[in-house]
Amino acid sequence: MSNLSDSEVQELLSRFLKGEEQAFTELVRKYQKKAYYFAYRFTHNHQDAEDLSQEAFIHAYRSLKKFKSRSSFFTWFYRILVNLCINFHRRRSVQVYVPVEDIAVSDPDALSIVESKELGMKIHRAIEKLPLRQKAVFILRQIEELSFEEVSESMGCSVGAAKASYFQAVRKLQKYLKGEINSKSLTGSKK
Amino acid sequence: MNCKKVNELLIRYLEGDLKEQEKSLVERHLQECKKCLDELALLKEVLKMAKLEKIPSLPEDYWAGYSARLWQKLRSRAQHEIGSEWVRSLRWAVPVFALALFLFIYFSRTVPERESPTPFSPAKAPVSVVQTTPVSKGSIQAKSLPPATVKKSVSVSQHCTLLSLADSMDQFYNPVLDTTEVIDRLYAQAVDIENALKETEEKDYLNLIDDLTYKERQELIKKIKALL
Repeated sequence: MSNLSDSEVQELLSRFLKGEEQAFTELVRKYQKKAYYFAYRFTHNHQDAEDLSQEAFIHAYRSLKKFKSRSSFFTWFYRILVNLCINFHRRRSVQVYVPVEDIAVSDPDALSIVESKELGMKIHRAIEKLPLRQKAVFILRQIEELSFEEVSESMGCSVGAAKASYFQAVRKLQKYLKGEINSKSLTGSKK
Repeated sequence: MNCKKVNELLIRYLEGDLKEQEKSLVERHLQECKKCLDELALLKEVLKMAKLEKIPSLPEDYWAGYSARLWQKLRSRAQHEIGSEWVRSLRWAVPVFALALFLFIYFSRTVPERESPTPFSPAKAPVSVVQTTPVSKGSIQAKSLPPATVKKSVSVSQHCTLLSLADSMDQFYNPVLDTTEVIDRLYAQAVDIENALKETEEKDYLNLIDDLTYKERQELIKKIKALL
């Protein structure tokens, strides 16, 4: 997840716990983009993503003294962030709209771009339909590329439960998309 | 292994989560079944596309100021929390202070007056021309229950209930009535003194003496003699 090694993170943490606030700023700088992007994938809104990611840092700042180093810092931090994002969605019951422009494509062919965008849009709308915890697991595993051990620590569950959530999320996506994606659009996006 | 079972295992197959035996069974099925192979292709495409969501690329300035904005939030939260602590403590302090004030007024006004007359009592006033009529403690009862109305429209039991209600109201208003009484008395004395002064200035104190009772006149004579 981060360029910082575990020992570097440990050093920053011990400096912070000794009262050096600059150490916390360094931790923030290392994880700010990851935190923002995760929150953005959850909310699809810049301001909400900034607020949620910063709120997670504020929670971390206040409870770092309780951090026992049993897990790595970033999975501990992700756990705070995931809970905040899930609670945010529950409170607002947000229906996220994914604009067509937000789907990145690398294929220069115009027809292929349109088809890829359409497919991407369908996929992202299907992701939005997932239950919140499954969505979080899916983002952590598939997009953030965390291992199942890291996903389980971030979600505060066992590795088995994390795997089960992820597989269920993927199966649901398959189900949602079965009727939506035909072989033509799949072939088109493959061009 | 049938298509349904294979479909369920496809994601675990992609994740390398299957045991060797299950894995070989799935692979064998995929070699024979075009439909399941298409399903696998679709699944791979879906997972690939899920990663391709475009995240707005934010300028470096934004990231440079991120931690500064965070510290600003942290500090303002800390200040707000200090303020909240004050408000929290005041939330208790205000009712406690109000209660203490009420008890102070209640005991300072009611107890001494029953035991000994106030220093502003008309009996002790040096010049007492007008006798004040203190407010009756039953005045609320009298106001709320005019006798005529009670006789005409309220039954006996209702009357009793209303009277007991008036009594309890009376008890509740006792400290207020006592305070009003003192204020009335003081006001009356102030008016008396003002009138007396006016009459003295106009050298019309003979009228003033006429208004005095025999006893008051004797007391006044004594005081004048003592002064002389």
